[in-house]
Amino acid sequence: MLDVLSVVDIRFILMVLAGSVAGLFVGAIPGLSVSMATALLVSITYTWDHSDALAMIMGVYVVGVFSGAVSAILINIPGAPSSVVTTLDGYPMSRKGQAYKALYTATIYSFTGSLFGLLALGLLATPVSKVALKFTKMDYFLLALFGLATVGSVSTKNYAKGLISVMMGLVISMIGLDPLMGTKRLTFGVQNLTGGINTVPALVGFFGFAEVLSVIYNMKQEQNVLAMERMKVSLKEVLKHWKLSLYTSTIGMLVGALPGAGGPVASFIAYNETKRLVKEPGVPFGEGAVEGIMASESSNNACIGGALIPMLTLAVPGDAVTAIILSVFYVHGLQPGPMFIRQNPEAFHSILAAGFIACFALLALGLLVAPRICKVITIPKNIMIPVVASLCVIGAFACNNRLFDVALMFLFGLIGFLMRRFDYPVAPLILAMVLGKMMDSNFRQAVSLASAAENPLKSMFWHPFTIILSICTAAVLLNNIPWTKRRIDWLLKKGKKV
Amino acid sequence: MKKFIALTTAAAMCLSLAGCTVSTSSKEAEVAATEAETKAETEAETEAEAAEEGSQAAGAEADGDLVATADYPTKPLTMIIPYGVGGTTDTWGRKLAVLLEKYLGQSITVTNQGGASGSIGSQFVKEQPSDGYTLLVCAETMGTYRTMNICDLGYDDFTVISPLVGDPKVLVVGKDSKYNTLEELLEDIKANPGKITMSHSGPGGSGHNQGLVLGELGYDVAMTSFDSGNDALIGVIGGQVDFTNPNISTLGGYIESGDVKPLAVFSSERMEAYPDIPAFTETVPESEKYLNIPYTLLSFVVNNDTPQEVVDVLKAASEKVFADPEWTEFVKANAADPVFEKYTDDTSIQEFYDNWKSVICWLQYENGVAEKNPEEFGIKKIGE
Amino acid sequence: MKNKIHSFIIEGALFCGGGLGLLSYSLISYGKSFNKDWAQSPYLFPLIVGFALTGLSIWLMWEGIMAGKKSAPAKSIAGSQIRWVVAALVLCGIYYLALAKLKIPYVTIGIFSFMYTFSTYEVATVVFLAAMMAFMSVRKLPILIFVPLGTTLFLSIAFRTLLHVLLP
Repeated sequence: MLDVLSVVDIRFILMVLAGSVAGLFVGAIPGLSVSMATALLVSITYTWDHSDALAMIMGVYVVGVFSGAVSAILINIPGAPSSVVTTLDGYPMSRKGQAYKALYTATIYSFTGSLFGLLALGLLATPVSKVALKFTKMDYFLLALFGLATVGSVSTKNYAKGLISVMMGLVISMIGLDPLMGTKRLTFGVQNLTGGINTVPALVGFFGFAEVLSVIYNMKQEQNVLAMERMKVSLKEVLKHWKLSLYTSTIGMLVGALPGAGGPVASFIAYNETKRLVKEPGVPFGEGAVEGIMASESSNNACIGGALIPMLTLAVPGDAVTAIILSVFYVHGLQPGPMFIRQNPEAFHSILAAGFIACFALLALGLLVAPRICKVITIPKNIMIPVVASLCVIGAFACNNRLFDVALMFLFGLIGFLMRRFDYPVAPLILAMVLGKMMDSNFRQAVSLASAAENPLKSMFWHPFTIILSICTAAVLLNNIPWTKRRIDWLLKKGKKV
Repeated sequence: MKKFIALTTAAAMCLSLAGCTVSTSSKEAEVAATEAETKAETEAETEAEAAEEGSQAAGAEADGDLVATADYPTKPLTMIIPYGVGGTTDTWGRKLAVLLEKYLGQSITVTNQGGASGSIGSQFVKEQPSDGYTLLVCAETMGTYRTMNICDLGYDDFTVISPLVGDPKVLVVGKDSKYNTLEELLEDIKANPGKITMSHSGPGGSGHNQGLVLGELGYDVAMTSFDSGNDALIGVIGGQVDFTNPNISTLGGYIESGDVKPLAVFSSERMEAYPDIPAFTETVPESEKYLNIPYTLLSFVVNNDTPQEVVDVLKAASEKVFADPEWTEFVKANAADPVFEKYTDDTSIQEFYDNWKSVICWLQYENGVAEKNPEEFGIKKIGE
Repeated sequence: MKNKIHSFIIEGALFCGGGLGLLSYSLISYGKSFNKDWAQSPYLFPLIVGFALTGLSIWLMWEGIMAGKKSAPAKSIAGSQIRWVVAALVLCGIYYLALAKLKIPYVTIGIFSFMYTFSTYEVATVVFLAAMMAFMSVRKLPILIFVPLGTTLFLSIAFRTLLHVLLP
C-alpha cells in the first residue's frame, strides 16, 4: 500500500486541489453535475500526462459527489441523483435552522465514506470484481427493483403512493429510444422527446421548482425568515454514529461496484437500513435526523471507490463519471481489464493517491465552506425563492443547451408541487427515472437468455444472488403492504407464543 | 440589511470559488462550446468567438505537418462516437482523433453518443451543419439501418473519408466452459438447436451478423442482444452465456489473464498477433463465402453535402495519419485488419461498400432479422 | 370538497386511467411492430409497468373506499392560495417566452482581457427576478434593484463566460 505514495509530488497535489475546488463549485450549483464537469475536464486533459489528468479528475469526482449535498441541504435541490436522499433529512434540518450541523455531518461522513471506498478499492479490488462478475442480468434488475421497493417505503407513510410515484418515474424513463432496439417509445411524434428525458431538468424541476411553488402557496402562512441556530457542533456528537457509518459505507462500496445501480440505489438502501437499525433517532427520520444524512453521504461517497473497481478490472464503468474516466484511460493508451492493476501499477497508484488527497481536500473545503455558506438560509424567503427559480431555469438549460428542457422543468415542477400537496413522495420518482433504462434492458436480456434454457424459471432465478435479492425484495414488499404486514405480524406473534 | 450582507457574502464566495477555477476552465470552456449537444439559435455569435480562439490556436502550433487550408479548419472540431466509452469504435475513434489533431492543427473533442446500434449518434451528426466540423466514426451498422428499420440513414447520407480498420472477431467461451475446441461447440449446437446461448452487441451489429452466418451454416443458436460488446463478453466470463464473439481489441487482456478460451477467428485466415487461434474456415470450409468481408468495419465519415475542399483536407489528413508510425503500431498492437490500406481511391471504396451492404443486408433479410427488403433501397443481391 | 368522495378514489381513478392507457399503448404498438418476440420486444417493460400501475391504483382506490367510511376526505387545494401559484406560473411562462422569442443582440464588454457578453438572457432574468421579488412582496428598492443585478451577473459569468453555455 505504501508504494502508492511514490507517485505523489507537489505538482500532483496541486492538480488534485485544483480539481477539488472545481468539484466543489460545480457540484454545489444545481444543474451542473459532476459528470458534466469531468466530461469537460477530459477534453482539456487530453494531451496531459496521465497522472496529472487522473489527479485532477479524481479531485473533481470525490469533492463533486460531496458538494451535491450542499444544495440538497440548503435549497432542497440535490446536485445529483445520489444526493436525493440527503434532501430527506438535510432540508428539514436547515428549515429548523440547523443547516450548519447538517453540512458538518455531511462533510465528516462524506470524508469517511470516500476514504472507506478508496481503501476497499486499494485492498479488495480483485475479490469485489469477482463478485460483480457473478451478478446476472436478472440480479441487476432485482437490485434495482429492491432499491425501488425500498424507496417507496422510505419516503412516505402510504406505500401505495410511494409505489405509484415509482411507476411514474419508470414511465418517464421509457420516453425516447428504447435501450436495446432503438425503437421510439411514448414520444408521440415530438422530436425533442426522442433523446429521452434528461435527469437534470427532472431533478431541478421536481425538487427545486416544486419547492418554489410550495413556498409561494404557503406564502401567507409561513414566516419569511428562518432563524439560525447556534453554529457550534461538537465533533464527538457527530462521530457517535461511526459504527453505523462503516455499515452504510460497505453498502455504498458494494452497490457502487455493480455497474448501473450506483450512488442513488446505495444511498436509499443505506438510508433504509439506518432507519431500521436506529430505533430511536433524536429526531424522527424525514424531519431532520442526522442519522439520515450520515447514511446518505457515507454511502454515496463510498460508491466512488466501489464504482472504480469494475471500471479498472472489467472495463465496465460503474456510473457516468467512471465512464468518462474510462475514456481518459483509452486516450492515454491504458486498457483497463483483468490485467490492468498488475500491468500498470503506477496508473492505479495515481488514482488511489489522488483519491486520498481529494478526501482530505474534501474535509478541509467542507469545514471551511460550511459555516459560511450555511448563512444562505437566513436570507428572507421572498428574496431567496426568486433566485432559486432563476437557478432552476439556468440549471435545466445548461445540461443540454435547449429551452425545451426548461419547459419540461416547469412542467415537472408543477407536477412535483401537486404530488407534494397530495402526499406523493418525489424521491422514488427520481430514482425510478434514473434506473428505468437499466432495468428495462437487463430484464429483457434476462428473459431472452432464459427462454433458451430447458427450464426458464430455474435458469432465471436459481443463482445465489438472485435468490437473496428476490427474498429481500419480497420481504420489503410484504412488510410494507398493510394487508400482508398485519398477517406477518400476527404470525410472528403466534410463533412467539408457541 | 444584515441579511443582504449575508447574501452578498454568499454570492461573493461563490464568485471567488468561480475565480479559483478560471485558470483551469479557460480552455475547457473553449471545448464546452463545441460540445454543446443542441445548438441554440444564437449559435452564430459563439461560433465566431470560437473561430477566433481557434485561429489563435492554429497560429500557435503551425508547423510543417499541417494539411489545413486557410478556410478549414479554423475552430475546434467535434468527433461523435455513436457508441459508449470503451468499445471498439471508441478506442479507434479516439486514436484517430488524437492523430488527426496533429495534422489539422485544431483540437478535436470526442463525444460519445451511444445507443440504438449507433443510430442516435449518427442521427445527431446528420442534423449538424455540413461544414466538416462534426466528424463521425461509425461502425458497420450504418449499412443496415434502413433494412433493419432503425432509422433512415445509410452510407450514402455521408461521405466516406476512408474506411478505417476491420476488427477481427474471435469466438470465445468462458474459462470454465466445457468446450475446448470449435468442433466441440459446433457439435453441441447441432445436437441442441436453439439451446446454446450467444450474446452479441446489438441488433444488426457485427456480432449479430456472425450469429446469422452460423444459422445459415446450419448452426442454430439462441441470441441475446446485450448493451455492448464488452457487456456481452462479461456475460460469458461470468458464466451466464455460453459463448460470444467479441472484437479482438476488447479481448486482449482477457486472453492473457486466462478468463476466456478463444476457439476460432471468425475469418478465413489466422491473425498475425495470435497465430495459435485457428481460423473458422479451417473447421468449416463451406463458410468461406461469408468470411471474405470484414464483419466489424469502422469508417470515418462526414455529412454527404460537405464541401469538396473540406473533404479533401480531411482525406489528406487521414492519409497522413495512416502513415504515422503511431497509427501503424496501434494497428499492429490491436491485431486489426488494415482495411484502409486496401481501399484508397473513391471507386474502390464505393465498390467495397456496395459489396458489403449487399452481403450483409441480404443475409439479415433472408433470416427475418431485417424488416425491409433491401431491394427497396436499391441494394442488389450479389450474383444476380 | 363537500361530497364525501375520498381524494384517494379520484387519484386512484386517474392513475388507473394512466395504467390502462399504457397497457393499451404497449399492446397496440406491439401489434404494429415488426419484432414479434416478446422477450426482446421494447414493449414488454411498458406492459409490466402498465399492469403494476393499474394494480396500484386499484389498491389506492380500495384504501380510499375503506378510509372513506371512517373519516372525511384528506387533502385538497385551497383556492385562495392556488391563485398565487398560478400567478407565479404565469410569471415564469412569460419569462420562458421572453427567453424563447425575444432576440436582443449580443453586447460584449471587454475589461482588460476579460470579455463579458450579455444578451436576452441577462435582460430577461433581471426583469424576471425583480418582478418575482415584487410579487413576493419585497418592498425595499435597493434589494429590488441590486439582488437581481448581482444574481444575474453571477449566473451569467459562471455559465456564459466560464462554462460557455449557449445562453439565449
